[in-house]
Amino acid sequence: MSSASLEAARVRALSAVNVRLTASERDRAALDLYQWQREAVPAYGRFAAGARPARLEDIPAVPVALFRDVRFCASAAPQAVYRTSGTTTGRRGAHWMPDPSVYEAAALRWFQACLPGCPVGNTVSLVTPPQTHPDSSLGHMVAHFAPDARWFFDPARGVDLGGAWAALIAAREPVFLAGTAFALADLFDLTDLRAALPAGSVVMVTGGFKGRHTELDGPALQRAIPERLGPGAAAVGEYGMTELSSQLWDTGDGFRAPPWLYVYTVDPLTGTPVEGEGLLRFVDLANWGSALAIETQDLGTVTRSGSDVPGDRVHLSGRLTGAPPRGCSLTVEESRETAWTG
Amino acid sequence: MDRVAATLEAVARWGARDAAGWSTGLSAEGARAAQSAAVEAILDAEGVLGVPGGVPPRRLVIWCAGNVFTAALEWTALFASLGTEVVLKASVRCPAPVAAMAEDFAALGARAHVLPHAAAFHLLDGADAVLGFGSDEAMAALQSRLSPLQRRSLHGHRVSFAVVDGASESLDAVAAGLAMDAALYDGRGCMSPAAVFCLGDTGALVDALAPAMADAARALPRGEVDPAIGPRWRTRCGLARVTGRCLEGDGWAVAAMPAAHAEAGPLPRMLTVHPLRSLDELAPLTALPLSSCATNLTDREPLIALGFERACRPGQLQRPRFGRPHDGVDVLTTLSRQIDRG
Repeated sequence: MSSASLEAARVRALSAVNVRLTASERDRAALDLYQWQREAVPAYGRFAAGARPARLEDIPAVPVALFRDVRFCASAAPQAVYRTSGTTTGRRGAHWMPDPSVYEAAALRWFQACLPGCPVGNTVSLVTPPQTHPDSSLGHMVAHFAPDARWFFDPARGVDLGGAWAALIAAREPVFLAGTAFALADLFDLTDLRAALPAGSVVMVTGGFKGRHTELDGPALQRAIPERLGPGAAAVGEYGMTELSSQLWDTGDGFRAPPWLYVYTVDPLTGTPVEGEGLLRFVDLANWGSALAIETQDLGTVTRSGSDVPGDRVHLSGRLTGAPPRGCSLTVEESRETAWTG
Repeated sequence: MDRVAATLEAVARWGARDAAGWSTGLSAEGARAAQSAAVEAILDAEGVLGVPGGVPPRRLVIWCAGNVFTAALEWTALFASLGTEVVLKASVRCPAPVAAMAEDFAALGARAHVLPHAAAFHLLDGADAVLGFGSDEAMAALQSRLSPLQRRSLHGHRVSFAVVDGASESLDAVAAGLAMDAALYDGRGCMSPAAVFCLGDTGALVDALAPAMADAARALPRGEVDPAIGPRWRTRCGLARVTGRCLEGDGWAVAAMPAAHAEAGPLPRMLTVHPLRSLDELAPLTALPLSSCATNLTDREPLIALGFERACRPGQLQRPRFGRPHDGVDVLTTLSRQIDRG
């Protein structure tokens, strides 16, 4: 791919990640981007196998698991790579980007639209710091929102409880506390400390509890936030993933998608679009340099905001549970209390 | 009537039932085909019945897996023909075939219990031998409940493959056999081919497999498939399109990709084909708990040397010979006590 074509695509994407983008503009841009990616991203072109979509649901969606094995990137010299944690399988997925500028712009513009006035100047971060882990997309995002953030988490050592609580207790100005659900659970589980955050504080909760054990489940965590940090702290949810350049924010009524992100649900088995609950798929114009359409492993429903009105809302209902183990699998999971003798 | 004749009658009675009604998760045609294969194997080798391998156990508990509904038949027949009282622990997931087996072998002393794994350990009381099939975890739990005096043959997870000479002139027959190996039991069980390794060019084999898989799907339609298989299926097909080639039909797929992407877990009605320059490249398989290998190679010794317990022609993977060692274990001798007559 020529550098001129790459730059032109980047500029188009930068223009598309616009909070005033209409649904029809998004749809046109997505179908155009698909045509470009088929040629510009060799792996995606082979994946798409000549598909000619007429609507966004027809754009071949890359299952997120495929990012573990395949590099989808329009550039031979990508300037950024973000990797998944790999906690589920031990193998890490990688999202290669020609450059991170569109990702950064998309993240910041939608964050500011959803959380205007968020006190990012006083950020306490419980996510992986990008200084030591530059392949963490979440860390990069928080650092981009809050260049002066204070970091109190390390993947090897966990939450710096003393440092984090000291910062929270000492806060005299509204705080932006950014954390994964698991880190926040540790913050509350492992000490009895409390703080009274000033009004206007925002607590960002992202990620679930997959594969991890904690005393606090999701609803308990939501209850713990005002109990332990005071009524001045408003909890907001962030939904994002390494393979997706855009994020969705939940300020009380489901996760709002930015106007450049189309969300729909499919039957998990067949991949056919469905009304109601299904596996979530995203068509993300901010994924301009990799693969614009991805299929997640999350189940949910989508509430449309209306014709040409941005802000579709996603309601998560969990992760697709694994199929029964193949091979000679049997009975450890067989816990039903049925019994029969013959 | 002698016990061998009574056993043969019991096998025939079980074979005359309609397996389509047993809720096996297979299609009606698939369930009947699996039932027939299991019954024919015994009736074709009836000379194995009634021939002791020592002093047979008085009471044998067979711990049945839920995924291969025919698995207990050969062992029930073998030991019932020797006068052993057979106690079947059926899976709660698929109890009907085992319940029917107990009815058909009742005159020979067989009986069945349908219980969750953890609630069935009392069945071991009074048994002098135990034959178990299931996950490694289930077998470890079973092992921990046995007394030193109870003879046991416990069979955890195993995996099977196929190794094919892609330059063979009889690839159509090889493909038909492999397609049937993949179709019987819909990829469940230790004897389903997890992958096909092809010496030389995979093109001709893949071309031959596609119509064979379509034929097999018509003859034995695929049964129920867990929704969680959907994303795995699309990921695997996508990986094949990106790195090799994928041919898909209604409920079947042939996915060709480099051996670096080989996986040990079969998907229902998908055959994954990996090119191989030499058998030396199969060395990583030695780390796996190998079961059987379907092959058209004349010299099968190198496959046995890799650790496969059994090498057979394509099409015979799911049709092991009655009276054979299971996972390399002579079950009859293992569960019998020996008297030195010398």
